[in-house]
Amino acid sequence: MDAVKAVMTRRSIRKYKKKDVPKKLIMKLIDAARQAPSAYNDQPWEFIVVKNKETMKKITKYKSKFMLDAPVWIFCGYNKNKSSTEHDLENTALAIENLLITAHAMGLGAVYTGGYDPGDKSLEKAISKALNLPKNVHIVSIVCVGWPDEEPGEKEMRPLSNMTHFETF
Amino acid sequence: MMEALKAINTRRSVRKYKKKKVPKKIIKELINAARNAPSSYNEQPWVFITITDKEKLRKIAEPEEQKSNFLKDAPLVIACCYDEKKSSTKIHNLENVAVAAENILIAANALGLGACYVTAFTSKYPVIEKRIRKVLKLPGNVHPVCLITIGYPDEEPVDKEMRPLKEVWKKEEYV
Ligand SMILES: Cc1cc2nc3c(=O)[nH]c(=O)nc-3n(C[C@H](O)[C@H](O)[C@H](O)COP(=O)(O)O)c2cc1C
Ligand SMILES: Cc1cc2nc3c(=O)[nH]c(=O)nc-3n(C[C@H](O)[C@H](O)[C@H](O)COP(=O)(O)O)c2cc1C
Repeated sequence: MDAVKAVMTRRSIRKYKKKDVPKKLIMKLIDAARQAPSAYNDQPWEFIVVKNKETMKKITKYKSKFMLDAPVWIFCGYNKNKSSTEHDLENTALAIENLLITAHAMGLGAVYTGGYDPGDKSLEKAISKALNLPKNVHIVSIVCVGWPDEEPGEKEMRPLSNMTHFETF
Repeated sequence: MMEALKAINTRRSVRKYKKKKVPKKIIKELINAARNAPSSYNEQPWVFITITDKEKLRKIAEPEEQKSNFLKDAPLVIACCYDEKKSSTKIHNLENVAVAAENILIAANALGLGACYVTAFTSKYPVIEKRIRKVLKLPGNVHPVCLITIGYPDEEPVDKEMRPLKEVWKKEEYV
């Protein structure tokens, strides 16, 4: 798929066919994610791939139920031991966008769902226990991936002119 | 036309540009790419300010703490910001702007442009953000996250050290 088209037509997919995603494709997703830019080339990210439903069940207690039907979850996070800056949320989000666009370009569907919330530690506790995660790894998002079983509806877009400013605000 | 995976996997930071201007049509395409990004609760809290005025860029690059002073020679800079009035989730603002910024970087690469993500804030040197705010006349509710410098490439990026795939990819559990 053409790159600009892939960027323009990517949408969140929350319904998936009951079909597995081969390891080779998952590898392509993560390989694309890690090509993202990062402050001082830190590449502080970590990706944990989960297909195990038991693990998923422990976590959907705190998240949306549709997630359980996704054949694959990719936990995307950063490792504080690999990071030298305060830009880890950006670094990880840039990598996630690569992953989402690559999924779309390969005919997969994916959705970015929220990770740790400093205001509510319950999800963080469940994730770190289920994944055996060290303290220095911070999960930014659980990306659900599968073969799309829905057409995304129209979405309301703020108009281009409303958010674009020339020279000054 | 460039294939999506190729555009993502060959994107590199480019910091030296030819003098050639970036046509307005392409600038619009870059912003369109950005605003198609996902955002928490579909808030689209972003704001993009395109800057081509050399005098403004010179002023932004002026503080000695601003080490990325190549930005003054970029034919185009897009300041990517979020508007806290458009956002209900305080915790996702940086992510929302970053995913939009990555769309700009990928589209730029696919369109034959070179670009670099330059940070717009560091707690170590508040003067960097302060200067950006002043030159771009940002209201208090609008926060700059990055300046993306863009132009037709005038350098080949050197090889970069990559953490191996095996090191960043874990299966089922971390350890
Ligand atoms: C959050 C963030 C901040 C960055 N800040 C700067 C910067 O201020 N100046 C600069 O020249 N490059 C900056 N970069 C670009 C990185 O140095 C670059 O992405 C990294 O060295 C990897 O190289 P690549 O982009 O060619 O893959 C930044 C990148 C990110 C993601
Ligand atoms: C930082 C962030 C957090 C998000 N969190 C969730 C989430 O927890 N659950 C969910 O279903 N969607 C989540 N989304 C997806 C958004 O709802 C979606 O991107 C938005 O509605 C726009 O639709 P689109 O992705 O189809 O363009 C999140 C997106 C972002 C960028």
